[in-house]
Amino acid sequence: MASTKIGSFPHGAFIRLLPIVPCVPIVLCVALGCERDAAPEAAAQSAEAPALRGYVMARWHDEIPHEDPGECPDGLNTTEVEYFPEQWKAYMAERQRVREAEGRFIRWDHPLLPPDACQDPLAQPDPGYLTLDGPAKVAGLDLDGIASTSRGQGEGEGDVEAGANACAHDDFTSPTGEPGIDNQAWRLMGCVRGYRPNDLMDRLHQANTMIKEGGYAILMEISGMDDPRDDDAVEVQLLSAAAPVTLDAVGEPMEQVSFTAHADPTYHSAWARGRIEGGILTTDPVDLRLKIKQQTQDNAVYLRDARIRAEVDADGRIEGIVGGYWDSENFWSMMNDHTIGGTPQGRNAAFNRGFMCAGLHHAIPRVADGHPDPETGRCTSISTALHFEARPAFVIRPQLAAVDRAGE
Amino acid sequence: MRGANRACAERSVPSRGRSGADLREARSSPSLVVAAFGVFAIFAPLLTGCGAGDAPGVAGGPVAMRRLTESQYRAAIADVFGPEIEIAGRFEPDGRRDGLIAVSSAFVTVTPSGFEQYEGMAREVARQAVSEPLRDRWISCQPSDPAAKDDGCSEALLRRIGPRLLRRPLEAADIAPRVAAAGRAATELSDFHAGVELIVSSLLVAPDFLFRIEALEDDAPPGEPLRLTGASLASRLSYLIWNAGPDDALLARVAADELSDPEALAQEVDRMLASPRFEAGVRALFDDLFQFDAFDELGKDPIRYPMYSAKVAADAREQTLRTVVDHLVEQDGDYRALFTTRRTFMTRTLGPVYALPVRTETGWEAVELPASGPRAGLLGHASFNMLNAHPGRSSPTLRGLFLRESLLCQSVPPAPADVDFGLFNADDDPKLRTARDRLEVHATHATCRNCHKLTDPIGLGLEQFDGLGRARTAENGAPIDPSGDLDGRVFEDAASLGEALAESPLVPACLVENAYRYAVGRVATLDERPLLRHLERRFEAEGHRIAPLMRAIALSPAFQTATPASGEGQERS
Repeated sequence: MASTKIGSFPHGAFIRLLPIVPCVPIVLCVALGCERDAAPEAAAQSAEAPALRGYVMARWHDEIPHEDPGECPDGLNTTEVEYFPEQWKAYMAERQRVREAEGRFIRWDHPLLPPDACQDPLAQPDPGYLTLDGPAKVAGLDLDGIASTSRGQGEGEGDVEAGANACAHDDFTSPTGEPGIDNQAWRLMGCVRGYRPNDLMDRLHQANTMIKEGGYAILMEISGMDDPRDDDAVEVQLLSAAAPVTLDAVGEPMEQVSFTAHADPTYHSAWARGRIEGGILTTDPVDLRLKIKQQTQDNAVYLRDARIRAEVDADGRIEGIVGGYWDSENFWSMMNDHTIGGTPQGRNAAFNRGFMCAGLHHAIPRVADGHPDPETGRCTSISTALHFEARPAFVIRPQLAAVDRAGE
Repeated sequence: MRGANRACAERSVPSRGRSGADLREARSSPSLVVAAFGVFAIFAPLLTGCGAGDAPGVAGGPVAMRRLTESQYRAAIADVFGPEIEIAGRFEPDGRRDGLIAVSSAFVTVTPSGFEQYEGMAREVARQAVSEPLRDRWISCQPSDPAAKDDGCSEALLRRIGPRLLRRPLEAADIAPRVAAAGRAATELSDFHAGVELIVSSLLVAPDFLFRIEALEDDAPPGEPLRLTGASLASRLSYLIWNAGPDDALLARVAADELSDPEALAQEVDRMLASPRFEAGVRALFDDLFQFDAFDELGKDPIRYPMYSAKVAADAREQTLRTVVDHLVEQDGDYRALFTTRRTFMTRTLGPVYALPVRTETGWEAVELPASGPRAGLLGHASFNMLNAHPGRSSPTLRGLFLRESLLCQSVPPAPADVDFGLFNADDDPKLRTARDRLEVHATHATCRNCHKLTDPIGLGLEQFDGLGRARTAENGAPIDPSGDLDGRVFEDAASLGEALAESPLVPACLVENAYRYAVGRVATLDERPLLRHLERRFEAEGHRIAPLMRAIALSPAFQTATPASGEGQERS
């Protein structure tokens, strides 16, 4: 059970973890995506158009394995508090003093602390970072179609190279025994305390905070689904809403709610070709940008070549996995782009989860396994898997939304 | 037709009535008013030989003294002082009698604690009304000195708001004491507006404000019907058509004693029916008729109906009223078509209940319910189905009871005191999976059968909607059979039941009866029955449209006259 020891430090207590959310610049609507957005709109306005079905995500979070999450023989990643104990001790004393004297908190980028590596990752030396390097049973998809290993490169017996458009990495096995699962995000975060099973992130996922406290609902629309059990040609779009999910009287996301899609088509994926076989929906890859707003983040996740594998149940709900390659820059952004009143909170978020930004920054390219740069050959994205549950809803295209229009 | 009606009305409305002195005395002690009429005999119908299209010249039944409902109180304050005024206080329950709050309002009084509430609200409303800048919208005169009394200005503003609040021209006794009291208050407190505040609060606790006290002219010869005073008639008109007090134009007609002129009266009725405020009147009538006040206390089991919320309930109520107003007022449509129309209105809050997309993010949008769906007409609305249901399940019996009593004007006896509800409540019996299965016990128990055969067969037609009003096809895994028959007319489902109601002659007749009750605050007397039959025929002849019905009621001789109450003369139906 090998573990790459990039650095080894004792870890301290966490306070509160701020969920992962990415940031993405707005891009222009590509022609194909815009046209495909418009195509199903007329049908969307008819209550008798079963061929176009809308959904809202009632769950949406990282896949954290429970049965066999893999081992971290060298321990878990450390935080700045342990790495810079004297500075943090002085800072905390000053923080306490100011709070008592002036009733306010001092900033996380205070001069008593080392430079904030979450704002400038090169401001600190690389403290090292522990990745999860051994086997584990992790949910996800075989994104590159190959059960690859990092030692592979054609050198070792039984080892297999990564796909042509990927970098060397060790695949996982799924909880059901499927080989070739690409989920390097788990290798990156698997030895971070807050991501271990039943720890902070897992508990937040179980509490469904991403959805229940979210600022923008995540929508899905399926076109051409004549038979939810078997249909060889459907098309699927994921898109952000302009409003959060609606919760019912017991706090669960409500079905059949109408959501206006986000006005910025950046947050509408292209329509992905898909098919349903035996109630299992799978789609071809499309890029995906989705707005995420909760707690201290107002950002967007950016997955490249994202695809779906999910089960369509008899009640019309769909549950499964969105697998794809998380853009590395976006991944880094989501870890740091937290603010409260304009004050950066990335350092606080990293401390709560149990890692150091400087270490993470250097570790990201090491685990990246997708979209190699054509010039450098270095991969620029990280395979990942997100669990989702979609419930029936109505997707209203923004150009059709109106305020107090008819019947007034 | 109008000319004939006027002639008929003129012939049928004699010019003399009971002693006005008695009425004025009774007005100071409102509870005596109705009782005082009890000593008079019922007038015989005055058949004047009008044609078949004219209202029979029957005299109206007893007058009423109706306490303002909460909504009417709020509307009166908003009318005079503006909608910004916040009214915080507890209103005593309006009650419901003979199916309507409008009738119950003639039988309720004001308890000592209730009067304390009125007084507290009056003081608070007055405080807000004279505050900056709200006073600018109704205080037109400027005092010569804001720190001193100004009797002239006080009287001017009293003359401005007094008739609107008391719904009649002011008399000397209304003015002098209030102006004097306001002057004393202004002098004592060195504040002119403190005196104005006193004037306002005194008006808001006056019996003539809190009650719609109907009075009669004192100039009718013995043995002839009594004519409502102009002010009383104006109040009847405005509450029937607008659910609000008379406006300045109507009060001007009263002051000029013009409402006794049939032509002037008809002009006023037509003006009021053409006003945008007619919508509020129709809304109030149907809110009362559909017993929607029950929404204020509605609750649902959040486990069984997690989609329910106060906002869902409020929107469901509004949806139905909006549909009624749109169909009857905006579209000037046939009342019967309300039971089959698929046109309605939707919000995003309500959309999930109907499983329909709603484009408009806030507010309402018109929608056409899917032709292939189970919903058509008002009976497919969530409002009726959530209101006439239990907190945790639907109720064919309650729904059937509502249809019988409120839409068909039929009477269903109450359940016996010793009824065993356990027979029906056993909804965990695997053999009794649907409401129809469970209600079979009613058909097999003699104590239940006679009444439930009236309610359950039609109520089961709405079992396609659960206790929240969501559509369903099965209950506890068993398919729902929504078929039945309405007094011999077979229906297949809820939409078909709506068609059966639309075809039933009892439905428009019931609306006529309820509208008349609503107008006069009591059930029709036996003598007024011919008038109801006449109104039914006119309603039919004029396409079952609401405005002509209101007009016919307002211009009928019975609406303008009264018969002293005997206490026994009213017919319960």
